[in-house]
Amino acid sequence: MKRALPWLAPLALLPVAALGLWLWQSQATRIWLSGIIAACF
Amino acid sequence: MKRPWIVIACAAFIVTLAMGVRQAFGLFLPQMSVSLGIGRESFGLAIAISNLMFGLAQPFVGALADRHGAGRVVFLGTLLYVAGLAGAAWVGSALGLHLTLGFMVGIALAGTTFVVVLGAVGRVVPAERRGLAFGIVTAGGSLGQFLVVPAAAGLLDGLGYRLALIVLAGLVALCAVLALGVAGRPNSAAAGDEPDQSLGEALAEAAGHGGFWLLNAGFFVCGFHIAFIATHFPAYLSDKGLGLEIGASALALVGLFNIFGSYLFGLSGDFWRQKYVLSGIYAARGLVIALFLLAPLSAFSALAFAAALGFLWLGTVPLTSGLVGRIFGIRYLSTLYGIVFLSHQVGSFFGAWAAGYFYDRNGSYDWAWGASILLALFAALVHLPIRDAALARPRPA
Repeated sequence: MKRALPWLAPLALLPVAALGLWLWQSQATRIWLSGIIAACF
Repeated sequence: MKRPWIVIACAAFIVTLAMGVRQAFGLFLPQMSVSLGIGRESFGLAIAISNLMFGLAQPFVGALADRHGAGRVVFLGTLLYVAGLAGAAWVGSALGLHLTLGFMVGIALAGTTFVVVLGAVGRVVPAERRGLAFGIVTAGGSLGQFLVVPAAAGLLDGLGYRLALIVLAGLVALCAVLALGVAGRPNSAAAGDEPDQSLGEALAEAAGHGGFWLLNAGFFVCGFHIAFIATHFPAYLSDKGLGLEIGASALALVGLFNIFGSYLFGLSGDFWRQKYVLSGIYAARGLVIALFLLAPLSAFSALAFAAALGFLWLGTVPLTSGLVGRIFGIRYLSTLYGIVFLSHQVGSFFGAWAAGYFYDRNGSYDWAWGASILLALFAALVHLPIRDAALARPRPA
């Protein structure tokens, strides 16, 4: 199992992958960023 | 000496930001060309200058990192990057854009990306773990490309290009802090493992090693493939009747699978001989391109192709840099890998430009696809004869 760990480590990035794919939909990008920007300014 | 995981994490974040922001420049074309009253060619020239300066400056910037440490070079590179982005938000002419987004950002990229930070990582990680470490850092760059591009699109929509560039400059400014994580004196770190060697001796040694030239040839092909696909693939799909959204989705999938490929191929370098893995990557690229062209074109085949090619996209980076480090040592890794990276950028130039040139002459990308397959076979073959044993050097008495 310990030997397999480095090979399986990228699975931890699956949530990031989901976030990225969601960001790539331009409408979602707009909504997400406008929320962040509204919160910052 | 710093803990290796701190150096790896900081290096990965630096390239995440620097590479990610760089990939978003194309999005600024429509707004900036209208606002500045310049043609698309003029904007394209700024990006072309940036790419060229990135490659031309890399060996010299790499040498500075080998001499003065990656931390200082990343810090100065970050200042130049921020100034270039802020300047691009402020300028009102094509010349100003060429100077800021072209020259300044191009040179800054050489100081804030793979060549410089991998040198720092190589010094703190034992040789048997270098593939894993280089893979993590390269995956960081891939992650940046995947996440920053759509985020920049949102910024552009919400804030307009000037403020969006300022926000991106603020993101890049974080690299100045992260530079502390890769800071250190190269000489003292390397001295324990390798006998001292001057820069001139290292360059002469590399120039006399056939494998160094073969690595340059192979990385030229990598640059050609990547620039050709990234620049022309959406247009190719559009020509064939598939919507631009398929082209954009294809590039997103390239970015996504690139993250996993960069890491896993880097890791594989710790288990198998890097030259054979590299040869396999290039052969697989040729095979994937040929299968894509032979199969009936559809949205599914385009996206499957993008995923497969994305997996093979930057896996060459940890393996090529790792092979340079394995053969020549890490003392001048940034300098020597910087020279190999220059070949990559020359390949990128031809991949983007020549494909367009022959498209304009022949009305199709057939020539570029054919060249891509032949070059893939060429690159698969040239890695095989590389003598990849570490060079033996007499230690001073």
